[in-house]
Amino acid sequence: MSTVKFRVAAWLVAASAMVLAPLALAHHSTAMFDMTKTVEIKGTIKRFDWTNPHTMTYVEVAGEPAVAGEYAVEGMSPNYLGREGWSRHSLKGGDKVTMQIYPLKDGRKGGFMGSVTLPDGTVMYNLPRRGGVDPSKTP
Amino acid sequence: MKKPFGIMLAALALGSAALALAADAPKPTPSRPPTAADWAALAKLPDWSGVWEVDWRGQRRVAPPPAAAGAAGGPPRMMRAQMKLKPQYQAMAAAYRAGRQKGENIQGEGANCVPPGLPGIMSQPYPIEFLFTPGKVVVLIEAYMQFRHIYTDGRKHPDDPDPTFMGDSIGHWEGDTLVVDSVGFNDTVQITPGVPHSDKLHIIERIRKVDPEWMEIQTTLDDPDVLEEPYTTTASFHHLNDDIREYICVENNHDSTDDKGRPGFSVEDKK
Repeated sequence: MSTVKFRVAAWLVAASAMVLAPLALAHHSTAMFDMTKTVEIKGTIKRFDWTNPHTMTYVEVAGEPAVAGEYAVEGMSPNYLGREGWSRHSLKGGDKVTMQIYPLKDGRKGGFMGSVTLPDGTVMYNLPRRGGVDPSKTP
Repeated sequence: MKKPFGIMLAALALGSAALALAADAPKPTPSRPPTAADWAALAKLPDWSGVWEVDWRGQRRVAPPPAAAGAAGGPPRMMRAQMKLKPQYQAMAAAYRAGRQKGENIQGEGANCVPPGLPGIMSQPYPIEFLFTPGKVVVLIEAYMQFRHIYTDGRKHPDDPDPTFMGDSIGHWEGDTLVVDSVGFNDTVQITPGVPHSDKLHIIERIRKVDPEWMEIQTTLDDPDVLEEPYTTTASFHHLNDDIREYICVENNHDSTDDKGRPGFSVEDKK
């Protein structure tokens, strides 16, 4: 557990996320995040803030010094996610998760959430998915 | 409890000052209490109940548009004409866009939780709701938790409205379409990013329900000092099976914009 695997996957869908995300975010652009790549982090949820204007998830990641630490991951608002089937209980402190994030461009530990895989294998999506297609399954 | 005579005198003086001020102020609302007939008249208005969310085609929760809907109804439409700015404002818009090459002007004050004002506030990715009450239509806007009053009691705009985010809105019904005219905007309201408006700006909205699942708002910016001709866009709104939710932007905001429009993000755990 808590081995850190950085996978910089050039998802084809990243392009569509770039188009969609600015529309879906009411109050800021995605300029501080690198929306052209995703990074996979594995770690333990410290806390999930079900708050406006964005949810915030703090993930404790162990491993090599370069990647270990606390990640601040911004997500869509509780208003949006609540309408997409999430709740304030969707992520809990102590949950071991794998998360796909669009990393901060400046190298600090954090980013914007793409999706999160829960301990039971359920995948929760933060961003809208075009036509219901699972982006992680897109070739 | 006994009040000292001096304080009572002072209160009296303040009271008359307030009365004198009120005489000069714009006409207050309501001009008279609503009657039973006023309430009954609301039942004759179209049914806009429920909440409505702007619909960018192809985005989430978009039901397929009614296949055979004709010009009169149905399919979502986003229509955006070519904006024709006067030359000096074209230069201004170009300079603003050029700033983006330097990493400036890429994020607005919204990231600092400043709401956009009209017309942008109407098409945020959060729902809106219309409430009819005698003499006005109230619009509840989830994004930034805003509201608008559109007065339908026949009043005119104030002669010299205070500049505000939403402006001063008066409306009237043309059949089932609510036609809204708004004036008096502050500097947050722009014709297009980087281009200010003049005092002559009118924003005219034509709001109607197209069919049970769709509403449409046609928005025209009319500013003869800045625009060569009025600029009109049309946005569709789909019915959302939900209620308006709370949205307090300063609750836990990690985002920011500096004075050059450069974005910031705090990774600090603020709790």
